[in-house]
Amino acid sequence: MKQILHIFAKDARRFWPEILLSLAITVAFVRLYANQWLPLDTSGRSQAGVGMVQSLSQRFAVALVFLVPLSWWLLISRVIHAERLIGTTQFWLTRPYEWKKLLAAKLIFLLAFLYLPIFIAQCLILVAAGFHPFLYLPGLLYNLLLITGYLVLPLVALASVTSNFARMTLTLLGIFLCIACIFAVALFVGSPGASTPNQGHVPLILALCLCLSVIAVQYATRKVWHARLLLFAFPVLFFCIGAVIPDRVSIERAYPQPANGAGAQPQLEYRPDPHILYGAYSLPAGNRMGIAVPIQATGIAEGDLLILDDVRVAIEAPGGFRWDSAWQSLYGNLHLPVDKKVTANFTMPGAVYKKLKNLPLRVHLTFASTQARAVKATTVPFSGREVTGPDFGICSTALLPLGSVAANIEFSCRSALREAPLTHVSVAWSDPHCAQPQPEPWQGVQNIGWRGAIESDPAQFGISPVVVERFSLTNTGGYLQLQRVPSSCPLPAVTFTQYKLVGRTQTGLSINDYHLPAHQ
Amino acid sequence: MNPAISTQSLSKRFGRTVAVDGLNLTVPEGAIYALVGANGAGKTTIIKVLMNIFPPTAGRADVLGINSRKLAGKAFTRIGYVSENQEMPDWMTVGAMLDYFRAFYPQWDRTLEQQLIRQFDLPLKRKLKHLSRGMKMKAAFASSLSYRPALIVLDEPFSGLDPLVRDELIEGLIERAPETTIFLSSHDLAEIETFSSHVGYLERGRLLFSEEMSVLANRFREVTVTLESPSPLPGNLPDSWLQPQTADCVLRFVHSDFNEESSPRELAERFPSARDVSFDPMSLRAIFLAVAKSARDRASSGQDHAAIKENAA
Repeated sequence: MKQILHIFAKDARRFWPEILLSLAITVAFVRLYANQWLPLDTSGRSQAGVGMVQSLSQRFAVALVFLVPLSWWLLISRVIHAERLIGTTQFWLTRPYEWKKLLAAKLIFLLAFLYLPIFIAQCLILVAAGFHPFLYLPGLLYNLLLITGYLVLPLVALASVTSNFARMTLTLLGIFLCIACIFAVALFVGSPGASTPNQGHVPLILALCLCLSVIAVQYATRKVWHARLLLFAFPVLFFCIGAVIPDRVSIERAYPQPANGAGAQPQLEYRPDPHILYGAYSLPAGNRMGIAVPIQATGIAEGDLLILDDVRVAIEAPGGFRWDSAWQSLYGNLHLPVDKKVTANFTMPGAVYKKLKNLPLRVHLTFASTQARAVKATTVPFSGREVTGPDFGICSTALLPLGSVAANIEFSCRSALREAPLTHVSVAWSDPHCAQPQPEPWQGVQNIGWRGAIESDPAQFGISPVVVERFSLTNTGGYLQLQRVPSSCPLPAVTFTQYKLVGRTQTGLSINDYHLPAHQ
Repeated sequence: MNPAISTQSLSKRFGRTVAVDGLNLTVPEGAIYALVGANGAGKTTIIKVLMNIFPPTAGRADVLGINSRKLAGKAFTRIGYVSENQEMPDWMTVGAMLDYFRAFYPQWDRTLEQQLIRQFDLPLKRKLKHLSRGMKMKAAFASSLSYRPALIVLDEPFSGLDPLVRDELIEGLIERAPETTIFLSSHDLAEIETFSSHVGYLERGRLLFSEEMSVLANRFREVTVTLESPSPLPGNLPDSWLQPQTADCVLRFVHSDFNEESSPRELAERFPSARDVSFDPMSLRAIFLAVAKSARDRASSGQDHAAIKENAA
């Protein structure tokens, strides 16, 4: 222990400027990040100084979210490279250093000057956001574990296989470039992949194991090429395996076919609205066409919800031609409570579209769907001040008039450590006690919004412990038919309905004599 | 008595380059062993293998009874290592460096540390990066001698230093000699000759000889044979006669296996008409040059033979 503390003290003495810089950035982050959830200035002063300062400070706070890990990058590089593991001329190689104690000293340094400051910073930000840190202690610790697995340990591993800050930076830039190229190629090639449900803790465990192995191998043996191979070959291998295995495997596993004898399942129907023109649209990537299919679900029990996550399309044309798509993500997912109509979009190659566009087709859509059930509903009066949705977080709200008759309620919601559970937020605008007469037709407009995620861990990866989300609910009715809001009416109530996962399955929809829409 | 250092068939390759080739070396405890050789002979590589900075490709090395591959941590409390190209914690002052290292060695002798600071006239408050090369080397010596290591390993410690600093360092080493084993590599043959007890000569990764300095000094003689009349270089000379050459009536060579009793007799038998035969002791530098040139001649003639054979084939 004496040796560990001795090395730690040496590093702390040597790297005080880097420590000070990192602490200063963390303090600035704490100080400015609270501006993220300040209510929007709706008084019209936003063009003036106050609003501009607020906006600038919010932007700077976002920049600090990136500056904090950048300062860690410098700190980790400096402290690991102080006793670098590459080379044959370092003084410490022939001194009575024990690798376990050396590694322990470096970890204590990171605990003292990286983990402790960010933990305190996160607690302070939680307090500033109105959350009691002790209530979120498991989430805070889980967030630190995520930061360890996805940020700190990869940086330590990278520092341990490079000889100095410049080489580490170049390696890191090279890695980012490779990832960017892979994404660019994937985007250009076109076909949207499927969005599979949360993989659980597997990626985190893999990241932790890989980085710890690299660090241990390098500290114990200083066999740099073994460690480098481990660090770079395994992620490439996992990526290749992931690329080779089709989405079908993971989707089929996550969304099993409904079992025989299972209870009544929601049914999907093809319901085009005669007032709407559903057109095919060109996509820039990969010469693909987007097709919108209007659907409606029936058989959904009151309080239940059907979420459509992914879709797979099979099209049969006269003459025996058949086209099958891969699983495609329905971006943003489609939430289908009782009798709700939505439009499911899929893409197909332009050549296939041209071949089939004038033919009567038999189309079968298979949806990867998630069933959820409302578990809790809470209505809170809108007072223009902050409202708290149970398990949803704290929302600052503001009424923003849009001309003379329309209005928005602007929500700036914050939740602790992770996205809120899937919640249906609704606002009922009608007010029977309003003193002024309400013009016909005034049935009251209920505007809704889906927020949050159906499943989530105790915390999501991030430097900030507060997840901020802004959205607005307007009093405009369907298809922008404006409804009046008399200015003297009391403000509406906000209802938060929280949903929980029931299960996942596949739901089919067959359409006979379907014609692909015309190109818009 | 266990040797302080021993190697068995030790080899080290870097790709296709053989840096050390089947080295068998023994450094007795208490010796001041000088490993000499030309640039690129493999001296630094051997030292780095001994210090477990490089793993050997084949064979093994034992340092203070420990396999060099397992040399780590506490084992270094008994070893002092100083190298000409060793990186030091340059951002520290000399005093801070000594303070820092002190905590790693339970047997650190503060009295000796103070003595070395005075002896080397070390500026304790100056940062290492602001020291001259000689001062830096003195600081390295002080930090490696203060804990009275059982083995001191020095890689080209005097290279590029002025004579005054060299003398100071050698003096410091000699004072430690009775209680330690010193293993050093150097080009500086004149200095080595003054204090080394053993010497090994390395040529292209191979140890050409390794013995006590006194034995070596007795074994090598510069022989001058004055003949009655000019004659060509006789054939079938013994392998122990290095660098033979004739000029007029004089034949000169280096006898690498001189024996006070048998060598004069052997020469008298081979050159019965010789008017005079003289045997002159040689300096380490002269021995080194003779052995080096001879080894190179043999290597080039071996390559020539190989080339002739290849052409013939």
